[in-house]
Amino acid sequence: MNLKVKLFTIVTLLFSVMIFAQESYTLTGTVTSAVDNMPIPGANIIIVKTTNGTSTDFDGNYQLDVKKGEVIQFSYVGYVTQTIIIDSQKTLNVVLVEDTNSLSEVVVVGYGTQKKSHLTGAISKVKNEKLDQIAVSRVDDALIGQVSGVNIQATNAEAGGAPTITIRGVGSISADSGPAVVVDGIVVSSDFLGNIDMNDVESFEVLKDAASAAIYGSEGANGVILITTKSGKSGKTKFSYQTYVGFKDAHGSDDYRKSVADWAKKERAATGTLSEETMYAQLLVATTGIDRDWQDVFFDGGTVSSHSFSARGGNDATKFSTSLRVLNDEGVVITDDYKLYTASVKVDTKLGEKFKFGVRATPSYSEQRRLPTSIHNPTRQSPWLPIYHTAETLQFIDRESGGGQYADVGIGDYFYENHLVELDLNGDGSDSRPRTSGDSNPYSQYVEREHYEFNTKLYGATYLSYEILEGLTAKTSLGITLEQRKRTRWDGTNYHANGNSRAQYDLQNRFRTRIISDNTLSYNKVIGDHEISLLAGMTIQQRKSENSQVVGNGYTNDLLPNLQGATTIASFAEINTELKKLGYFARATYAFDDKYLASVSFRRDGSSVFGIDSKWGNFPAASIGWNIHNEDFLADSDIVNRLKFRMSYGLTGAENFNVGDAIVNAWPYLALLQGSNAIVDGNIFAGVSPRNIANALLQWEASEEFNPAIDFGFFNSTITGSLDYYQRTSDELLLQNPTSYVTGFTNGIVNLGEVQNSGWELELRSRNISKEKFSWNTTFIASTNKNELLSFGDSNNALIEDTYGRNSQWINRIGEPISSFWGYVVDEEAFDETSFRTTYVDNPWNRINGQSDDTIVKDLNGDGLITEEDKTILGDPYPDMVYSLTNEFQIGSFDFSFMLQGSVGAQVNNIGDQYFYNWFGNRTRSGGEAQAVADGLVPDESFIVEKVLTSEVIASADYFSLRNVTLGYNMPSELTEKIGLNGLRVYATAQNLLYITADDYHGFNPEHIDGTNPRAYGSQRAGNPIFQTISFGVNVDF
Amino acid sequence: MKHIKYLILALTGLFVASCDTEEFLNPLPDSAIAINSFFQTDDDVLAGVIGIYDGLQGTNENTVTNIGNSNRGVQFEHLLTEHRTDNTRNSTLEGSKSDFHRYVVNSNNVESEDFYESMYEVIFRANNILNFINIANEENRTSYAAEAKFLRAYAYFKLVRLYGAVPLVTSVVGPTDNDALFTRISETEIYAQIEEDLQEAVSFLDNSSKSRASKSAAQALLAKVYLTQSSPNYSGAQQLCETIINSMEFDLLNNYNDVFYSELNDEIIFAIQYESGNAAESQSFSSEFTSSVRAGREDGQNIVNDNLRLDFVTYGGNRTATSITDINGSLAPDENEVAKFFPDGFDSSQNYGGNARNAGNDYIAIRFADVLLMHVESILGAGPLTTSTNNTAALASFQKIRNRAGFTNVATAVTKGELLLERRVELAFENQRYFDLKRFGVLDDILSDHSAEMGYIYDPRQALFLPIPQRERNISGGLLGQNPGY
Repeated sequence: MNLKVKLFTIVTLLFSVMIFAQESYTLTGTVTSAVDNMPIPGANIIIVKTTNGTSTDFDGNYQLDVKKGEVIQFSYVGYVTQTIIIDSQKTLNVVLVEDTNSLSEVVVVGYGTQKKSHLTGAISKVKNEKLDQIAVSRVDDALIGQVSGVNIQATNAEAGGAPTITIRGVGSISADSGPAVVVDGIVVSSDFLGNIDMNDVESFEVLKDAASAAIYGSEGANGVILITTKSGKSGKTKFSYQTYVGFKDAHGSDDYRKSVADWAKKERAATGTLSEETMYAQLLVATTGIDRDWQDVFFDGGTVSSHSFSARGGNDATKFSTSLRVLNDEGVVITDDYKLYTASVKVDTKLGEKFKFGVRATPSYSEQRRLPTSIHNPTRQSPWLPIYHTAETLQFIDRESGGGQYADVGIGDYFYENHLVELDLNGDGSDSRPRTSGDSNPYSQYVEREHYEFNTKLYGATYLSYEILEGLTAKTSLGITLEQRKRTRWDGTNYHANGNSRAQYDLQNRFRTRIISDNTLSYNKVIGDHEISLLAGMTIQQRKSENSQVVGNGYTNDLLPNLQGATTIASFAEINTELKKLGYFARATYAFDDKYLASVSFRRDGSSVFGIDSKWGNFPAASIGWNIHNEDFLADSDIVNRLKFRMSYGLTGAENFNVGDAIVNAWPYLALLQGSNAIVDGNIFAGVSPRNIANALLQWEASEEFNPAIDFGFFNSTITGSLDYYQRTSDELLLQNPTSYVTGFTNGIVNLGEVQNSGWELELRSRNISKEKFSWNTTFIASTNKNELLSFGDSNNALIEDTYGRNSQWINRIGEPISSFWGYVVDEEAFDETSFRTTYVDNPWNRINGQSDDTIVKDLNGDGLITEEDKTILGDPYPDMVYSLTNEFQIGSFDFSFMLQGSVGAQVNNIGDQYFYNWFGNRTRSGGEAQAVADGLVPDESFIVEKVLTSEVIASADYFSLRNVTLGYNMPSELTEKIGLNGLRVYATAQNLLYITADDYHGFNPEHIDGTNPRAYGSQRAGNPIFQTISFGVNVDF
Repeated sequence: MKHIKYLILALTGLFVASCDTEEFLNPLPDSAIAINSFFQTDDDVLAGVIGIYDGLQGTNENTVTNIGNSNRGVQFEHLLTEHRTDNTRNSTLEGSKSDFHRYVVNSNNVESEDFYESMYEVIFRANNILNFINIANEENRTSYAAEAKFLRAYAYFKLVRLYGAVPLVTSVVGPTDNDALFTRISETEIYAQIEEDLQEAVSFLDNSSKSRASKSAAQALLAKVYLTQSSPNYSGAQQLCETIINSMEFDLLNNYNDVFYSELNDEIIFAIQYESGNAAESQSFSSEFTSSVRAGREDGQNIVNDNLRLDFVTYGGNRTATSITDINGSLAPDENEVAKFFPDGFDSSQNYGGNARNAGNDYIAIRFADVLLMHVESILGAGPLTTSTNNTAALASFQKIRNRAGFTNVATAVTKGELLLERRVELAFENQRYFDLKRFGVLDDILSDHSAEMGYIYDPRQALFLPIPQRERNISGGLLGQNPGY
């Protein structure tokens, strides 16, 4: 084409455009919702500056006569209005994005709903838009980083393991610090989070401040998570099938990796020679070819797959929603595994105009194979250890040892280090063999033990409501949760070197019921500019738990890995508890002219947990709000389109605590006896002994919370968000206080102390670009928390030891967080690992990856001696800030999003270092301390201290992760129609592709925490590994 | 439909009315008993007395998953006693259990703390049941009370010898009574209380049981108390031993091995019993004494020092094979293991049987051989190890022990040194040696030599007493002091 022709073409085109612009033509298209890709019926479409317009039909289709250059506006209640300039296209499909700040948006609150614009409390709403595409097996895992003020920590990362959810910091000490969970208005056990299908969830509302939660009284002390499940919509029944398959891989620890080759190199570099143990290990490696880190064996990755099917529909009177899900989650460790089957039915119907009735049932079954022991046990073992004996390893078996104990060991039997014959490899005349793992074969220790947990649950509820007068509704609902949990722990006859004598079967059954009846009367009225809502109600709750346990042993084979195969019953127990509660509540909310808002509520709870004089607790709350943007002076602002100030104050209470003995938890005010049988004259005699120190004065733990906040929206809600400050003071903490052993008890439950949590929460959402073909949204969420013990009575400065027998300590000190790590500070300058070890440790190279057990610490008070006085606070396990940054892009039919998420400021007490670096085998030799003094290394022997008592084991628990990345494609509706579908989405998603931990943290998961005692919180032995998941999914709607 | 509102209101009302609030909010447990409703009959009080024995029996370590404080008491008494002598040691240096034999126990030591707790648990249960004694049938009241007091004395006697001055409570004390809980009472006063309790036990008990407190057990224990206290009552001890000997109710078994593998035999005066295979009622120490194949949880405890093995070679006679083993020569001379309490009698060739960790062997607290040797000791009286006697009664008692061990040569005199040695081999691993060394006044001499031999840094203060648990001091508000050396 020459230049002339080009010019001609361009000019012609320009003309033709101008000609076209004059002509009107028919534009057609579909309006769909970005939330669920469903068509929006009744959406308004108008041509701006004209009176022309139309609305979509039942299937979301429209047609409209337009001219090129006209501006068309698409709008629908609850969605962000979109304007598009016509550019001669014949079809225009519009996807409307939900307006999270829409004035008409409704938020679920305790025992009701409220307009979002009228909210005066701190309630975060998370809609399930793409949460169901995060390939995790529990709904709570998908909420990480989604809500400000909520810290969801992977404290147990095994397949199906529950994370720890903390809302606005740790308040209670012995009380259960997790939030209450309410499904469709009915309080359920928090365990339910593991049995609900994310595909059934419409939204989560998190009640964070006391004023919002106070209506739940004693349930609300640690916040409340309200889950609203999906309902059917009237019209044609919609079917949907959602599936994904994911591939999981553990993020192991490079710091903990070891091999004989590396070790030998290191040893030779330091000493010029090799120890006999290393030589022995080399000999074994040369024979078997095995020199690998056990992480390579144990962290074998896994796959997760999920199939979910739902049908939802109904007519004007009756709506239904049903679903089925099968989840198969194979953990990243060789044996952990989780399978979940859930179903749900939800039917709501209207009988006439005033009478509503609904019923729902959610049965579920799960099967979890748990890790039989902490993962540090097998993964720390020596790299040369084979799993089985082979023809090559038989030569190393000591056939004489233990009186011919291993005479029959042959090929294919598990290899135990104890089998090894002693050899004189360095020619010093004395025989030796490696002694690192003794009687345990890391592999059989896991594979030959099957520890299962089976959960069969049924949650069911019904409600009846009747509109007595206009605006006045009576409602009664009944919820029943049935949970049967069976735990079986089979330790097979081959799991241990000692064979049959270690075989054992432990059967635990727990049956729990929770029956809850809520009865409310509510009244809503609008009189001119006044909007009033009143609520009064009562709730009755009964929880029963029946637990039994039988342990059998005396197995001689693995044929009947259950009680049938046992020859002896080693122990048995039955423990039953019953908790009852009665609550009365009332609430009044008032809004004037959508500007001035107020709410007051009151709840009175009676609980069976407390004695006669303290059975009842009162929980009042009040909050106010001011929609400043509705004032005249902001009405015309181009910048600010939303500005609300709100402030709330409320009291909540706690009555549930977990101090180890379930019976005492339920009846702490009663002096109880326990069975104390003894063997006398050769027979077992029934005896009794006191079980607890009764505390008849025990009362409610009370939390008082003050929460000022602003919500804002700028530039027509391009930027929206909220900023909250909270200060929650928990008083009369229910805690297990250590008592002198002289009392005959180790502790008693008391009300003691006061703790304060305070912090800021910021949620910032920005619609950076919103075009038809391209949109980009950014969300930043950050929450800070400062935990401070305000008073602690006589127990101020109480020291608590760990439960590993390592003597690591915590302190509970006023002015500091509830529990802080306590110990000596390592003197990094004085202590040189290599020279210390080779000089002062007896046999420094006799265990692979050994480091010295001891270190040198700082004399903080400068008195020339190391004493208890030189211990100090070394950190605390509570994050100062958790944050997430999410970016979502939509490009035509494609969408892409990623979330960066992290935590800063927490520390963790990782005793894993002691195991993986083999400290115990490397104590300072006898006289070593004196030698160190003589050498001038330390001024006094006391300066040499075990590492487990020092800052050496306290590591930063900070992490930074690429939590989620998702790339999706939604097939355009014109294409899906051709294949007879309503919608089709394919996506790929990844969790934790990147997970970065602090340099001084060496373990597998800085979020992992063993044990739940808040007074000695935050310790681990390397932790179950954090893993990444890469998955692919398809959602089909038809 | 118009009346439906009344129906709903009625239903709601019915729900509220149907439950009496007071009754609803006060459910009672069905798998535990409230104290107030329990103690009604003689049997109930007896159940409370049995509960004290349960406390003494302690918890098998294999029933608990954490290493915290769980009343394991006598089940690892060997760590606090045998390990702190020249008899035995821990096989590895791993964990707090390995600190005893090297005299490096610190005040947070889990096992020492657990033992302290266990003894006070026994004391508390005894004090508690004394409050309900009047509910028992009249004819049983004095014997139940005497039983409780015997057990209380037993616990205090262990405590005062291991920890020195400790809090002394003879009634139930609440958690806020800091003076009672944290004031250390002098050893003299504690011994006075022990004597008073044991004298009452001697007066009101008979010999109807060997696994419950009995007259002879109280006499034997009192004899040892007399020998132990700072100004020993040798004649009192002698009289008590002779009473037991002359009662003819006890005798040495012909076969030394049978003493440990036939329960409540003629030689046993007081034993703490266990039941094999029953996790809650069994013991773990038998399995912990094995190391190379580790039937226990740990790498091996009570590993026999060469020094003791050599004494066995020379002085053990037929007791040696029953006491120590090198497992057919597979263990080094200084790594021999205890053979005395093989789990239910099964040795390594039987893989320690099917219930190694839930063993049923009794803990032998007092046996006739000990009384015979105490008899010799009471006649020898005060003085250095060279103190000698040719008293016929003393020699007769001594000779009985020697004869049974297979040494038939007749001794014409016996010194305190020979007696101590005889006690060492006769009562090895029965938690006697540590107390013997103290009582004979040779603790420092023998242990400092032993430490030098083994390369330990000997600290006489650590050898004298264990630390008052730091945990107790932490909650005492500064009231509770510490023993020297910690």
